[in-house]
Amino acid sequence: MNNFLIENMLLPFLALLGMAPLLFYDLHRVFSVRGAILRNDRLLKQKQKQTQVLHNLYEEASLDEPEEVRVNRLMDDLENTLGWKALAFWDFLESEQVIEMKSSRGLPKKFTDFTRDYYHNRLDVGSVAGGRAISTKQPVVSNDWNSDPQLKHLPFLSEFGHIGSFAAFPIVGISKTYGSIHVYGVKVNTFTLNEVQFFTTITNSLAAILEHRELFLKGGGKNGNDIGKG
Amino acid sequence: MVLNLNIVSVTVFLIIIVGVFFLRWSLVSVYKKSTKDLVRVVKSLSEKEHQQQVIYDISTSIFLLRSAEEIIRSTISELVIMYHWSNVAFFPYGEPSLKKDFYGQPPKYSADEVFQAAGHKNEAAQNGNRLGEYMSVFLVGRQDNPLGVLYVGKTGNALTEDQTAFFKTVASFLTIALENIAGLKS
Repeated sequence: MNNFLIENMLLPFLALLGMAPLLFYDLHRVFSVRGAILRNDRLLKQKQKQTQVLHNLYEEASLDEPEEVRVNRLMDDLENTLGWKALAFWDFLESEQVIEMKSSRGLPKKFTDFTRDYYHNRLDVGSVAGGRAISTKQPVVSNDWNSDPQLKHLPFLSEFGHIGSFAAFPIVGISKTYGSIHVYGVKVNTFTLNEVQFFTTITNSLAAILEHRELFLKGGGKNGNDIGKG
Repeated sequence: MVLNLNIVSVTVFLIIIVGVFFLRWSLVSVYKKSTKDLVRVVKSLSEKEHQQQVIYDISTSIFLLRSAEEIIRSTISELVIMYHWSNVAFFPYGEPSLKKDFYGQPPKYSADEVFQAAGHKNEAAQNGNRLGEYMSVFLVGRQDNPLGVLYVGKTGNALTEDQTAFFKTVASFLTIALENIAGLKS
């Protein structure tokens, strides 16, 4: 029986052995392309959602709403559309040169308790990462909380708070600073170039919209019909 | 051991050859279709990235530029260079002719036609098909206070939903930026 199998199946086996590399090559090509489609499709869906958030922000620009209401709605959109669960809005108090936490969501209780008890929900401009963002008017990004020189003295925040990355994006208009939006990521290296650019666009646009409300909607400023005249 | 060429082994051999041939042929069909899908997805992703880059650049420029003309020129320039869309123009309200830096390529429609198409609507209006070119117009400003019209021309087809949303965002940005500049000057 064994001899029968070996003698009769040897030829087909050799044929299969010869064709196998070609089959594996074809399967490899198909799986590579399908994998690339999945990766690019995921990225495309994320960018479409980011565009939707920006579009919503501009669509509601003409509404006369207080700053906190508008920022909270933006944070709702960031959470519901893009899945950013841990966010905080810090308002800039110019007379006292501090930023004050006005609203937050998704932050660990230990973190909010610490901010309240130690900092009284206020940060001096220039101090810690959040204050630095306001003083420099540039985003401050820390992709590894534990290795940031200003933040690593607070290691329990990543141990108990599940926060690996942090970024502060200032909301700065032409004539006024409004505050900053702080975004927290669960993993390290959350903030890639795409995320930093997206949040910078969001806060720049928000600053222009808040300034617009003050200059145009509330103040009854000039109508802008002087384009090309100087 | 001898290579036996009896009917059983040859039949199985042929079945394997034919089977593998059909399997490879179907894998090649799947591969070709997948490649077309990949090209489509990559093109969409590339367009989306360019759109985001334009919005990022113009939202940053508002803090560096100090006049309405500079903002408009910068926006048109971003659309032409970053988004590779040269058939775009900004018609200031009340101006009979178009300034040189306010367009990428000369539009096929006149200012009157563009303002008529805009009709002071807040929504984008897509009108006309002249010499195969579709016109889309986006109001900059408000119904009671129009500042101008962002004109977008496209050959062949009308704008896609995605492109319409993008240009609407650009028009909204221009509204905010131009009104802010005017408000600060006053």
